[in-house]
Amino acid sequence: MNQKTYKNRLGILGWFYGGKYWIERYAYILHRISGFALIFYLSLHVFVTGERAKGSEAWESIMGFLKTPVFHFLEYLLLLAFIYHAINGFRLIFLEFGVFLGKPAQPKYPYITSIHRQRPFVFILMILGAIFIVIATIEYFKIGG
Amino acid sequence: MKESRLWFLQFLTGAILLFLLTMHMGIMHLEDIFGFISRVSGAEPLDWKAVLHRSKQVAFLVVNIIFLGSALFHGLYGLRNILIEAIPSKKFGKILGLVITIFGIILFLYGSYATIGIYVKKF
Repeated sequence: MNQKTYKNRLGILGWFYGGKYWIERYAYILHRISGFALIFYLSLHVFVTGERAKGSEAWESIMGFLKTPVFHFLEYLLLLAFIYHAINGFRLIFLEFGVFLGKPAQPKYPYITSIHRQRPFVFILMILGAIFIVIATIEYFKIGG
Repeated sequence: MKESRLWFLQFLTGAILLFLLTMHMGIMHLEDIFGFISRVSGAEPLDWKAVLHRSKQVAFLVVNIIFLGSALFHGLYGLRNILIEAIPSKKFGKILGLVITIFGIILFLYGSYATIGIYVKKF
């Protein structure tokens, strides 16, 4: 935190306007929201699963509380958050290493930016994420037996 | 630690979690697909019998602690970055960094205690 800091004019509201960044911006917003859900859950999860060290009675007692339909559905939402966060995180790791961004070159009209170059990768991964979500939903709720 | 190193760790733990969290979610919630890894006959993944079976394996003990450390670092560093962006003040950043580090250490110690505790205890 040695660098100069700037006033955040839009604050949290700035998250919700994609502008020219379009799908990548919305992917980033969803990444943060799903990340929030996951870290909130993890903090509780560590204490809940810590009950196993106290023995079977403590474990069964806490599981009895968590096996209600409400918690079952909340865990499903968490599974969706995980799938999205993992798929988008996979994309971010690739982008961090410059994969799919193209090599730096003299700009020529019509200009193609690195955002455009990596966009097919975004679509492919989002389709893959949707397929994983469908499979996970079928398996989680045991749809069709 | 330098911000660039923390950022590198964020990606490293992200890659670790991509694998370990997929395994964890799969074993716990999608047993028809991932059940071959650690299925206990006649028990659901969250039944005490299955929990004890997993917890008594040294591989699960080691992987669980790496998993816990990676998840806490990745999640809490991400949370810190979001909060610093929302409130860009050096003082806030320093206090937040300290609070989040202490919180992460407490969770890591408690999670490790539970993981090691069930491994060594006789039930």
